[in-house]
Amino acid sequence: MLIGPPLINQQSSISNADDMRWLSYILLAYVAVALQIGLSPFVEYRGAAPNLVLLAVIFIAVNAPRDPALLGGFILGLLQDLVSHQQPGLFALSYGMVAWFVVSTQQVVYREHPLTHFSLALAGGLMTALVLVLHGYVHPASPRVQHNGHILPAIRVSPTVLLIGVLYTAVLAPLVLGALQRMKGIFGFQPGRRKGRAW
Amino acid sequence: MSYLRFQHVFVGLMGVSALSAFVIPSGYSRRFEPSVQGLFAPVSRPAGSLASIISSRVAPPASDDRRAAQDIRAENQRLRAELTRVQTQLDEMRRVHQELSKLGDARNLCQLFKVIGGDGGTRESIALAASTFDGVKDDQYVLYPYGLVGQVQRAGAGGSQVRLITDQSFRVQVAFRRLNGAGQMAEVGVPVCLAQGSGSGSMFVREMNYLQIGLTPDFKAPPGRESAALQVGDIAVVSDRDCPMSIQGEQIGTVLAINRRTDQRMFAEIVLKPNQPLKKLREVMVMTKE
Repeated sequence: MLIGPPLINQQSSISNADDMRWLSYILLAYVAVALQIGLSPFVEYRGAAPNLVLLAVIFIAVNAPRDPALLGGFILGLLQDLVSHQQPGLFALSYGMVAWFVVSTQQVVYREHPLTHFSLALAGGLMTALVLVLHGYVHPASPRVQHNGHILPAIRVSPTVLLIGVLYTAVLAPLVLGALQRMKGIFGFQPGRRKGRAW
Repeated sequence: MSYLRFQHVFVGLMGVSALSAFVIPSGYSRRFEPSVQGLFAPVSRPAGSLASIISSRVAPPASDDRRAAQDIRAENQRLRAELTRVQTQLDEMRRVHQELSKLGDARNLCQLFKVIGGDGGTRESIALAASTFDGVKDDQYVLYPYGLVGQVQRAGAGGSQVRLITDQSFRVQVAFRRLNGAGQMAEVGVPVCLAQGSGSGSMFVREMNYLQIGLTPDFKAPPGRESAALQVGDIAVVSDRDCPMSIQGEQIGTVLAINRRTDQRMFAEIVLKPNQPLKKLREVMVMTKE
């Protein structure tokens, strides 16, 4: 992740509707989730698809002020939970954490640089994968079962497939986030309202 | 909202999502999960169609069939014979069916629905533009021309999510069949067994040892026999008492490989592959009536 000069901290800690254009956010969320479910079966590589919603989370978290960024990441996760067969709450939790992590790095990264996009997507993807793997070990999708006198072991989410997905997403990040950065004007982000730290 | 209050709200939201993800049983939390798949159809379907066209041109699905042309011709001839026989039976069935249709509309078990897209996460499921208003309910079976696709997991007013047979949580008992010399689908002679989704586009059968599939302890064909009882290319069909009668015999897929299990070396891991990539289907049939 590229480290840039720290921005000047602003005193305001109040979040309001002017921090980000929420209509633009809703459109981004809609398109990201729709493209995720529409494209993922066709762009898979070894069973792993890129996570476009995660890239949207990173875009929001890297540009928006702290409160809308955290809330925006969480809502995107919630939306992805609704169109997935996963246990509800998994992506909301993961993206909340990713948004929190990205917001905490806002002050020290060059948000336009492709390497920043790659590294943030890699870190965010790994965080999400960690939550999914952890969930897979606590609640396997197919728990151990006894059938015809044989014990069949549990089938869990494959960490290899998740890792391929993380790398796939990270490779795409400079392209997708680069394009989104060019359109960030329509989101009306207010950089002056950023806090010095995420928490 | 003040800084302190937002922090509390966010921590609360994260706590609730963590509880939902790790503590609350999935069957309970899914009851409160709205179905919104249909909302995304205006973007996801055109995007999926475009991706499907590009995908089929850039990377057409590779065939696992490595048989010699002569074998395929021989099988074609057998299939023609089988087709003639089945066609005759079909004509007779049509006649009977016409008679039965006078009794009512019980003939139509399935409805055709468009697929909106795949799974938003990492599981094996598809979203359908099919709502509860169309008669779709949880646990109904979903079919395509080549067999079973899966089961409706979450039907709502805004769409439905279908758990594919290749998802880790899907289990069904299967029997194995093979096209014999007489052009008929005959039993292979392997006991009915449990197939589980692998989570990567295929299913596993992991409960049979080398004897049950007619192999030696080193997983080779026994001396004096050309091949094992179960072979690559054999067809797995549903044979599960818990499934409705109309599902029995539906194809699950073909045997792609017979490997040795890494955790229990005496047992085999039989890999079953569906006849089409299920996540890429554009239309499926939901069995709305049984």
